[in-house]
Amino acid sequence: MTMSYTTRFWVLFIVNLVISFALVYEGYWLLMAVLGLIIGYSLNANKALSAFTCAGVPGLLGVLISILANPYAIYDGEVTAAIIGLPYSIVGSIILLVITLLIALALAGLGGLVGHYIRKLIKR
Amino acid sequence: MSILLYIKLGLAVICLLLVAILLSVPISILAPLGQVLNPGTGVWNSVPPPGVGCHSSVLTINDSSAAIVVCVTPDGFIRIASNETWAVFYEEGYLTAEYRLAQMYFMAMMTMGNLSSVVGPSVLPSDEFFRTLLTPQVTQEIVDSLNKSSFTYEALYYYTLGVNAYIESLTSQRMPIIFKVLGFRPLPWTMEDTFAIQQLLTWSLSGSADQLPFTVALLKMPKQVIYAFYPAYPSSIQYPVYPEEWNLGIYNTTGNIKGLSFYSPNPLPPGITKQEFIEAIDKAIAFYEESDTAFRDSIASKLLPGINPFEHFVIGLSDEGSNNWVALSPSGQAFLANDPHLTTTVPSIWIGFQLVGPGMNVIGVDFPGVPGVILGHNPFIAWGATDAEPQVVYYYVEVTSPNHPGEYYYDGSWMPFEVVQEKIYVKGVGYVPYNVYLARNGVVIANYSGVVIVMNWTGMYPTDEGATFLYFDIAQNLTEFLEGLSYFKVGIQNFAYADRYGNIGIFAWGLYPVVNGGNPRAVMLGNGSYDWVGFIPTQYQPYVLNPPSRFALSANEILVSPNYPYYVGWIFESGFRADEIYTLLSKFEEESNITYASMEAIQLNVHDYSTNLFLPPLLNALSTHLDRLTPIEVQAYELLKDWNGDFTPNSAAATIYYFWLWNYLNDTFMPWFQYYNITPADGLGEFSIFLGPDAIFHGPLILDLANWTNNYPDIVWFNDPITGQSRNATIVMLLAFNQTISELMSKLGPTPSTWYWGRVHYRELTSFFGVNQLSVGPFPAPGDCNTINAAYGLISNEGPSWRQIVNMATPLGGIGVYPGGISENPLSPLYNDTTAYWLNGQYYTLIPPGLPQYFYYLYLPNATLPG
Repeated sequence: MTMSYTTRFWVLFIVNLVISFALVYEGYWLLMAVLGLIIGYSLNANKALSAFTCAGVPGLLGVLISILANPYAIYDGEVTAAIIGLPYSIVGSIILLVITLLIALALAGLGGLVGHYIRKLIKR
Repeated sequence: MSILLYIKLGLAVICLLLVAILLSVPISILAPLGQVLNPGTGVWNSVPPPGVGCHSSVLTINDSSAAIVVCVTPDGFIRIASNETWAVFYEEGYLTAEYRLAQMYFMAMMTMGNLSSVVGPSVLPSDEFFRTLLTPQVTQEIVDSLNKSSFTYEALYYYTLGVNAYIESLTSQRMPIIFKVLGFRPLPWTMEDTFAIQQLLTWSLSGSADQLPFTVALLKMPKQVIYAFYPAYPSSIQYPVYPEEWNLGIYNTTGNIKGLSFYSPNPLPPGITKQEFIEAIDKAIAFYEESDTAFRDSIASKLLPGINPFEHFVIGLSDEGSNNWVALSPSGQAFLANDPHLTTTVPSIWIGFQLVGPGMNVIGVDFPGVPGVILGHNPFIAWGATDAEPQVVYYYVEVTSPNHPGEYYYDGSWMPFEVVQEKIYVKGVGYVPYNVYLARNGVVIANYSGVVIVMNWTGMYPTDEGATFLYFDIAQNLTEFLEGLSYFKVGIQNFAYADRYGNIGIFAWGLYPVVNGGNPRAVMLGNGSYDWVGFIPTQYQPYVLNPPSRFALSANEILVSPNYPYYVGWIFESGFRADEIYTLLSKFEEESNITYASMEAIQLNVHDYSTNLFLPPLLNALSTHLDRLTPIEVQAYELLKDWNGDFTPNSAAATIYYFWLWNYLNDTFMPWFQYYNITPADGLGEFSIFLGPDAIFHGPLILDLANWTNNYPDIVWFNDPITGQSRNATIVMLLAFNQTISELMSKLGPTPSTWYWGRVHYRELTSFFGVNQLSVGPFPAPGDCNTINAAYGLISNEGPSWRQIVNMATPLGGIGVYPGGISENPLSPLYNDTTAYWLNGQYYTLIPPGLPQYFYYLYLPNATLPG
């Protein structure tokens, strides 16, 4: 029995989310790129954007959940912002949070793209 | 098609690699973003240390076990009780690291000359400065000289173990955020690190460079100006800490003062011109301004905005002054009060500890990184400290010759400079070589065209001041206190003492260098003729014990009466705080009112004693020239006329007086400095003898001005030598008043009654790490640089960093407060929980009721130790 593409997408999305969260929580967030590569390869999507989304968005969410699991995180962001010269406020924290999430998206999503294109090349 | 796929894959891989590189490469002095923003181990997962509460545990090290009870209380204190002394200090080290890890490491690294390894090249001058002070070598020598069977070694050993136990257990959640941002992981703490903090403290308390600008003054100004501006003993009213009538014994010897000259330049080395000498001195001054932590603005200005973890180390241990006094109540109860004026930072330079172990129950404040309690009391004795400010730094110009490169002429022969080759690791740069050159009489701080200036400081010899405090912590009487004091050699303090037996005293013991000729106020010839020949013998060092006045006090004023036989320095504070304390203590003694309430009233007093000296002549000058004043100036005059001299936040007169006095001082002296070509390179505007910043204008010039204004109002020094205008005190006072009103009108508007002191004068708890946004305040604040409750400067981050009052007849009722809190983590409620009390002039009972009974050990008959 083969899964439909949509089902496969969401299964991989959730698997990716869970594993991303675990990796990030343990401090191995750079490995999200490898995970994204596997997801992108496994998804076997027609469009690169799907691979990027399926790999990147769960990575981003995993990072966000991991960060928000610490009740002090937003305040940590404020202190960090103050140290590096950003506003010592929720604004500074959000700027850092957005940077962090974009990095997560880039890491996992680009990993997904690489996996996607490898799959395409192998299939040929 | 396939090629296109390869291209797309390649692009994706390249982008991924770029992101990976971005995350792995340090940006400026920051750690790589991949570390900093790592959601699992970076800044996002930090949590503050535990809050208030008590817990019990059993600590086992090797085969020894100890029962421990720790209470963290919301008054800025960590309380440790144990049935084993070693466990108390172990726990103190552990908990200090838990609450102040970043602060203690940064202080130690700075003093060891390693700060640029973390912060980068901008602080390299600081590292070079502390290497020049020989901190790594001196701390090593101190550790090597420790007696391993002593109580103090045991304390230090277990304290160090405790710090390292915390570091070993350190998770990413508890790693200080500033360490994460900078990518710093603390190495194991060492005893040398503790002594590095000691060196930082002793330098900040005793380092001085006033001899350099004073030498310039001697070279550029005629002798009559030197006599007038810089008398070796001030002519205004002074209450010395150790007046002759309170201790005749220390005056009864020959000393060295008669063999010295105080108003002449010292001989120059052969072949060196005055101009070359001045340029070398300017270079030496620049050395301090660029690298010494006491010159606060120099290094800070060179750092990246926002990333400035050094700035407040610059300020962190500066010492503008302090107060302490001891007094006997009518029934003979001994009171002690102390408020050291260090920088008020968050986290505080202090951390509060109560340490309870066998035979010990001490409470007070401690420097993070140093075992024990530095200032505080136990059930038997109380002690406090103010900086005695004697001269323990001497400068020499070496005799050199082009025919003897790398050598100096000393005691009849040419000797090579010893070279200490240092390598300083600088973040982002690598190892930078740095050579320290040593002569017999000091380290080289400037070498300008062969004119070599060296500096000799008592702190460059191995001494263990930390032992003093550990012995104080367990002392039970005067004899044991003095035994502890015998270890204190450098950074000489006026140690106030009171005990349960009704003894009171103040002691300023330590290493006072003795020279037998020349002018020690200036740079001396380094040929060996003017070197230290020893130190003032202990029996003649300043102290006072149970004086007939029934009180004694110190506030950084001059130490001794004019006929003290030894030279101990000449740049002390104006004595205005001491004058006020003396006045109030005399009054309270006369009224038999020596109580906690009266001691608090003195400590919180904001009357500026200088107004007693300057306000009457100013009012007199204004009242006789009312017809020449503008309506706004008349309003200002009316405010001054009705003013009592108290610097309260709602006083407009205080604002007028403050700015007027500064203008009066400037208008009197600046023309002379300009006339004699005293330049910023010579220290103009930096040193108190050359009109330093307003925060420290309590140097000798203000005393001259007080003397001339009241006793010699027509003296020639009121003249303007540049314009040739003949002036007297009245003219200059009116000029300064006119300037002041103009300045204040443009700054605060046209209504003098709204020029409240609280509009221009604030207190701030500055971020210790230089992160301005993490500072607390500013708050409109009372006081100025001359009030007992001192607040130096207009945005004041220097003032009473710790207030303590104890009646040693009932020491359990001792009170105290320091601003800030226990924790360095801004997310902790203990970061800033004591500030409101401190600002409002309130005190905590240091050992409050309701604690576990162990903390009343030695105070209450039934109290025991844990276990």
